[in-house]
Amino acid sequence: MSRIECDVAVIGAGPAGLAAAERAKQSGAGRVILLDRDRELGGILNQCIHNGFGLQLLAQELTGPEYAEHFINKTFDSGVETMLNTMVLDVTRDRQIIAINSDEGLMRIDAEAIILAMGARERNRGAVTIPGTRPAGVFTAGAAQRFINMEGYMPGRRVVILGSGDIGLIMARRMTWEGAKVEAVLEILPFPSGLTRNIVQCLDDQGIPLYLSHTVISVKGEERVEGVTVARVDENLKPVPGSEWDIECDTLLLSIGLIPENELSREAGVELDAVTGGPVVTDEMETSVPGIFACGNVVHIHDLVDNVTREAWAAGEGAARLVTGKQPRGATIRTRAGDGIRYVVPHVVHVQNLADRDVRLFMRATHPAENVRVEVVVGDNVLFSKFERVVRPAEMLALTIPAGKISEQAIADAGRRGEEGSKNGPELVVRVTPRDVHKRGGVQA
Amino acid sequence: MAATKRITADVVVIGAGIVGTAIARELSKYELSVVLVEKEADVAFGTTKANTALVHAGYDADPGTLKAKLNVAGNALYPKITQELGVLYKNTGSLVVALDEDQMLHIHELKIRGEKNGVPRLEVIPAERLLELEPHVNPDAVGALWAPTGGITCPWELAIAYTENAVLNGARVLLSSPVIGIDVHEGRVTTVHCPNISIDARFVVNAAGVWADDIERMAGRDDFEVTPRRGEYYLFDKRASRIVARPLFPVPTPFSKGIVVAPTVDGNLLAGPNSVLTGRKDDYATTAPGLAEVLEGARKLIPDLPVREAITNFAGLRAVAEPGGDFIIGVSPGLSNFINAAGIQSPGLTAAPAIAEMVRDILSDVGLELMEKPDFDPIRKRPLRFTELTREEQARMVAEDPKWGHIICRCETVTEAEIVAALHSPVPCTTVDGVKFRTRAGAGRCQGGFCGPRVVAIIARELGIPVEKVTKKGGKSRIVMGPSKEPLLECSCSVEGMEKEVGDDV
Amino acid sequence: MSAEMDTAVITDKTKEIRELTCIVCPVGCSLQATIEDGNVLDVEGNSCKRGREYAVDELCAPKRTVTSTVRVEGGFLPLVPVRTAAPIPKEKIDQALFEVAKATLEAPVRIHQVIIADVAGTGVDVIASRSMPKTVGTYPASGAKTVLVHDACV
Repeated sequence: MSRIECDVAVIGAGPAGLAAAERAKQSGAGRVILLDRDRELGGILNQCIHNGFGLQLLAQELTGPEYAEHFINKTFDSGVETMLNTMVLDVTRDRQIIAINSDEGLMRIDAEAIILAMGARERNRGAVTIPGTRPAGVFTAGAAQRFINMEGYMPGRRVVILGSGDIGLIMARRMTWEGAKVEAVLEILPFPSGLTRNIVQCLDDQGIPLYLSHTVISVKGEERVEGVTVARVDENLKPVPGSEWDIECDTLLLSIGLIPENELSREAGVELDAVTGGPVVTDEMETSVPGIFACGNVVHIHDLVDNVTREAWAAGEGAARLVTGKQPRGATIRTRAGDGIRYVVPHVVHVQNLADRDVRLFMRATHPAENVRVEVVVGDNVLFSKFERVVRPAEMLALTIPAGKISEQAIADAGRRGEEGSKNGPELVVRVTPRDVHKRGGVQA
Repeated sequence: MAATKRITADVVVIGAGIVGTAIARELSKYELSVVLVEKEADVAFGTTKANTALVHAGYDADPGTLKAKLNVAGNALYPKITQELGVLYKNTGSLVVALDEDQMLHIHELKIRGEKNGVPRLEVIPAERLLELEPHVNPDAVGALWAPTGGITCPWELAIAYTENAVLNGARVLLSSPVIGIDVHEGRVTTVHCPNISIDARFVVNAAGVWADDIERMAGRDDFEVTPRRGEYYLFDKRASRIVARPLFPVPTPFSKGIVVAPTVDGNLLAGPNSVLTGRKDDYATTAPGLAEVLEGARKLIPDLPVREAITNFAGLRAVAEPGGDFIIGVSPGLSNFINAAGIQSPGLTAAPAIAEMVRDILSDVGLELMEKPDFDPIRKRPLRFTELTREEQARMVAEDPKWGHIICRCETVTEAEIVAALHSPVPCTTVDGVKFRTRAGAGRCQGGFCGPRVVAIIARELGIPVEKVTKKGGKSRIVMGPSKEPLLECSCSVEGMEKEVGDDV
Repeated sequence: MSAEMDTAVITDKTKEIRELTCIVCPVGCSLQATIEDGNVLDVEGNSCKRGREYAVDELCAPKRTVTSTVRVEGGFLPLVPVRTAAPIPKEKIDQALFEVAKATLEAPVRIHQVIIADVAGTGVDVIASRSMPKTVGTYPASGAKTVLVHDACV
């Protein structure tokens, strides 16, 4: 078994891994190795040929491959070493990686820091239990996307899509534009899971009906899919008897969510958050295992690649600070999801970082709301807030706390008063409130 | 119409499930020409691929029945058979869990019945011992029947291994070959017809599973009827498997052994089956009420069943034969060279090795000469699996063949080398499901979402067929429907043509 | 089609307010456009100026960026992803897709290379949205060190 030593090893060369590796290198790390199991860099972006990438970060509306190529070039220019067609088999707590590829065989990589950037996998039929037969023609939207965009094959001609996630919506248009007929998109929730712009340009534009509060209750066909039975669901998401009808189709695409890919993280003993399905991380994007960092969909599911890149930069900088001996020291404060917020990433923030640099928090709302303030609260003080005209569970919220906005003193005061969250010391609580409440105190953004 | 090919055989075995393949392998020990015919695209594609994968101890069946006798006999053969054939088998023991004192009475009855059947070392154990063995079991449990000879295996792996070993020893296998007619002359079957081939046979064994009554009717007899009973299952992620160490049964009902929670030899967790009478022999559909019943039943044994870790669900069919409900193994009345091995429902997997020996003896009784082959090789080497190799062995394999360094299925860590080997094995598979059953590529938590397109590409390349001809499980189960762009170009008439030079770098 | 499907509120005899969702960026602002005699008088609800432009375009002459793939011979992959260099009129999309479907290319292809000039007579080019080298091992074009090995799916 060959042995390799490096400062930073990055697992996964999708948007998260690319940006993390490049930034780690630029921030002073010595040898940086980027590993990916696929035949080329870029990860899932290579099959996301639709536009809409990079608006926030690059001020251009790019397709996935263009966004990838931009960061691939930056990664190469920075001097990051890459290993493709390479599968990581094992990651240990003491930052040892076992990997394999056809050229080098088995490798042991000892890294000062590891960045987990494996992305996510798609939820499949078994995860949501769709009864019926098990014919060919049931695909996750991503698998169908790979067939059609990368391999050049039609997964089917008459399509029903379950789930209104962005990949499903994009595939509805993509299949229509390849000459297939998309009969319907079904969403079990009373609101869409994907971005509104995708509902408009992928469904409305193509005349594809979207049935909210509907689901597939059975798959038909012995060899190839011949149809699906669909039904309306009640408020408990249970099918309403008598509401069912059949749709003839040869293909069922599933766009029912992504699951952070954390098998390696688990083996390494990284603590996972039950809500996000990803590692618990600090604002350095360091996991509960010292020296193991994580970013992108492995941590929580993003809807915008721009945010993945931003998060990956934080991870790359964090890893570089570790290997150059510049990690922040001193007290930390936990974040917590308050009213109207489902989760907050990162889970832990260094108090020193709040003073020294902008700290970005990512979060998701529990339900749609209009004209609200997203507030950061310590104790009973609103220390920072931001107005949002609309918040939706489908669209991730980002909150950047400017350097120095939340002082060490404010946190210490809250800790002394021992109010909210006194058990674990003071907490940074993020919550959603109607616009006009909480005029007192606090700093308005 | 093209002339069908005509061959001869000493024995034609109809049906390549666990029973037919075990019989074919048994007969391949002798100087005989054996042909195994199967209507599906691969072996083990019927009941054998969808059952609880248990090696039963044998306390269930009524004493004196074939089920009882062959269960215990088959169970005893498992260690040797699976070792010879390189198939996973774990002698885990099994437990029947009593949840109240009434059920405890039943447990004692089961023990007595088991002892009559010749099941060794049965023991009634108290709740404390049960909890020690299975900490996640329902805390209301009052005791259990402990059957140390119970175990788990992989049914399709065993059927594939039986077939490969039979082929290695001279048997012939015809896949995608449904029997469409059987000629009978003066009380003897003479010829078995498939669409492209006819086989003149001295003896015929009917191991056609749920279709066995239809096969017998083709030979002009109508002695029994197979009424399939559907059983539905949940399969859980490997992460969930540590919740049980061995199969847990509820106290059985007159109709079924009940909904079981069991580990699999591959490290998953299985829950099921329910038992639903179905009018159709191809009814492999799961249903919402059926799956709910499975969960409810499984939770009685393991209250904290990790439902969220479910990775798939499926249904299988029990080949229940009426009248009697027992196995029907013997010469068909009025057809002196046609042997039924029918109605092989549970514990058919366990009994299969013993059924094969019994069928061999019946054939001998009705005139088949059994001369042992001097060069019979009982060993079928277990195909190498990357995950079963040490790191050193893995390194060596990659050095020999770079395909061992190319992981195709990430959930189950299956390499390209293993898939290529399966496609060129003694009983080569040709389908995506066939690859899955031989290598586990696509059997993991993402259920082929990642490796599916890659496996399809490898199948097409190795078999030299277009990608659009690759199927999930034969027949019309094509994975993709032709190249992209075709649908657009087909309806091009509706779009006004505008010729344009393409590829110009303007 | 989306504009027609959005709600129209008649405020007085000549003025009409149309509600639509901006699709310029993922924020997806809800826009209210006031129209009189087919002219957009006012747009509200947008959080940037592109929202206003979108509403005017969408109500007068809706446009979309088209993304697809073109078959490529001798490439690392069988397809090159492409897009229109700018949004094109919605009614030209079918024709553009047909022209894209008919097209074939030879590797290598450079990112943003023009694949079809003036697609469907729109004055807009279809361009490659990635580079496509000839064979395995030469990607990316910058020639930096990679370990590119045998792959079954190529």
